Amino acid sequence: MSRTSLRPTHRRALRGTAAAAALSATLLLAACGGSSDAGSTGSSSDSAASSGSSSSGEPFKVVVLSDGAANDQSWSNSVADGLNEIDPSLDVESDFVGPLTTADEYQQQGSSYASNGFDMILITNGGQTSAAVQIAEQFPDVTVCQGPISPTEDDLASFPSNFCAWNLKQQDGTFLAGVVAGLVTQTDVIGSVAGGEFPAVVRQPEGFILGARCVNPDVTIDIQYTGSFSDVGAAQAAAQTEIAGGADVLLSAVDSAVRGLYAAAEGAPRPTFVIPSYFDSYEQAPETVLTSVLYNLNGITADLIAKGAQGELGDADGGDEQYFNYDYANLNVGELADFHGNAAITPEIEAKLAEIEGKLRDGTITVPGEDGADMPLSENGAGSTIDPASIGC
Amino acid sequence: MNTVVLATLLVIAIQLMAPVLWASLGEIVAERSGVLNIGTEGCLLLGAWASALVLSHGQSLFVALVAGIGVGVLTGGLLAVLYVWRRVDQIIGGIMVNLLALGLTTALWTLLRGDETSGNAPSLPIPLLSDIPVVGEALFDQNIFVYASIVAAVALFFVLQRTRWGLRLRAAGEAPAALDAAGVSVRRLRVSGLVVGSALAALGGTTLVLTSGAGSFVFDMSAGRGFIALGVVLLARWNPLLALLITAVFGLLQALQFQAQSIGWLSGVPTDVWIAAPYVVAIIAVAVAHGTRYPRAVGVAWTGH
Repeated sequence: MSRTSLRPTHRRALRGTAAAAALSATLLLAACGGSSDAGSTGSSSDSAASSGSSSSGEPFKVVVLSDGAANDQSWSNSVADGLNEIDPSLDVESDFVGPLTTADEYQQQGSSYASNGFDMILITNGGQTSAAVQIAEQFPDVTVCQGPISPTEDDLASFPSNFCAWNLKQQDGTFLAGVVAGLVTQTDVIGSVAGGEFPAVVRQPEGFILGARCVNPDVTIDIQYTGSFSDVGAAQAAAQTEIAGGADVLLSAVDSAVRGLYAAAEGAPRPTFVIPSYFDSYEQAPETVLTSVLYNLNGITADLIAKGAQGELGDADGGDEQYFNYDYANLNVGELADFHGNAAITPEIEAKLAEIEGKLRDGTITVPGEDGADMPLSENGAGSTIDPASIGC
Repeated sequence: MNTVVLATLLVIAIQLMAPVLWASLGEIVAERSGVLNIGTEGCLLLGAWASALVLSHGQSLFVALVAGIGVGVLTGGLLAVLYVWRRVDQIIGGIMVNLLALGLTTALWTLLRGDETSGNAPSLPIPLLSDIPVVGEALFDQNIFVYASIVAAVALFFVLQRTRWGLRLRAAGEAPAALDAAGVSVRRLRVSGLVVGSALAALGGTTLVLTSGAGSFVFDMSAGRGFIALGVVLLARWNPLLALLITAVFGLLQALQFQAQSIGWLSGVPTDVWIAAPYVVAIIAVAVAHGTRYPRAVGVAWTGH
């Protein structure tokens, strides 16, 4: 940048630089370790377990790599909580590392743990498939699981035998949130602020508007993508734009940056509610949070690790499963958190919600998935296009 | 575009402007003193962390302000040790500070965070002026940290042009040998430039937390604003008033991306294009401004007193 700034200095400067680099690296690693310490637990028991990759007498060692801190009160918090729910009869030693952002960071951390004798690497970031596959190819004796993704048959055939993919049906949860929004809105306009524009995110606002249209045919949605899950300024700006357009109930799909939505709702000219995802966030903004969409990420984490410890993941260790799709039926994925007495939720709204939820659970209503449907819900505009009657509304 | 949309666009633009403006003012002070502080992004993040931390323990906005400035001063002191005394390469040292800030804030927020929630700083509408159509809410209904950033830009312009410290600071960046010959300590001036500059950048973090973050910290919430400030300073030619104008334009470009996603005929443009637009414009502007002359001694360690 500067024509004069890169003039070399002398040896003392180089020593200073090296010292600064070492200090930075040490503290950065300590930071990652701190996150993992805060969120991790090693659960072990004396009982012998049939471990997947571990040899007899050795605990099954697993590390979870995630995009947020273990106490981010969002996605990663829920994932990290799952480490406390691992079946205690299994001899499992676990660790958590987050936040990680780039593919390089995932590869570096994954390779490091794999080199140090860990049996399983669980990546809870849907955008890191390439990094996960690379780690799996580099360490064929280590089981690598990554999700949420929705792989095709061709994808599954191309994955290494020690790789497994996992997914969760988020659209059932956001569909229910949409039902609430469709009943609560006073303007018939709702909004959603999302981080990245990829299938695991797109399906959330699309499920949201489909649920709202199930109970309110007049409702429309404004969906904004910010390109970041941490930029609160961008999240706030997107939410303000939606509020200015009339939206009074907003679904968050921006993880920790949901605080930007709270900031926007605080300054709104009319009562405006936010529905965060992944973690019951009522205490973060009691006046603003209407409810939260929960996906039992803790249960999914514990289940995948238990499967790994029992040798049920991938082909390498005798298992034959490479893809796990979680939904409400198999692991209670897609529920709403408590309303905490919010006055906007009238008994009539609660009754209607219970009716729709009953139909969703018994199969009368089927929210489209990402494949097999005429219009997968991970396509932009699907939630506003699909006829609610065609799915059982 | 109706008046509601236009007013919202301006409100968002000013909000997005303020943190980048604070960081830009900090960088102007540092570079005027002869130090290229690549660590501005880290200063901003540390300021955000410190302010959010005290707020999470139930402290007041004033304490949050002091915490933001305090951590900025400490960071400036650390940078002074690296750049002025140890004469560490300023590019590498700045990168290290940014990495350090990212790891440190994440770890310490995890460990030390309290349970209190605070919300944003309250808006302070200026009577009559805030009622002006379209521009009233954007310019005269913001919080104290946003107002202060604009006042600070004007104040810094006069401090740099009209005070003895400002004159000497500029001399430290342009002709440190002449300053030294006049018996003025170049080191001392650069230390003051780094401390003041880092404190201003940290205030950008405080502003971000209390304008957009509902009083809370989020991992990597600075989201590159400190790096954008480096480009702003170049475009503004180290002039705080031009920095005010350029950050306002940048805020407007960022705000436009959200309006564009909602406008029918523009909504077909891929989202990524809108997200990248302000940065593409910044790169083009910096490229066009390639002939801009840095202060002569920027980035060159001073080996005298």
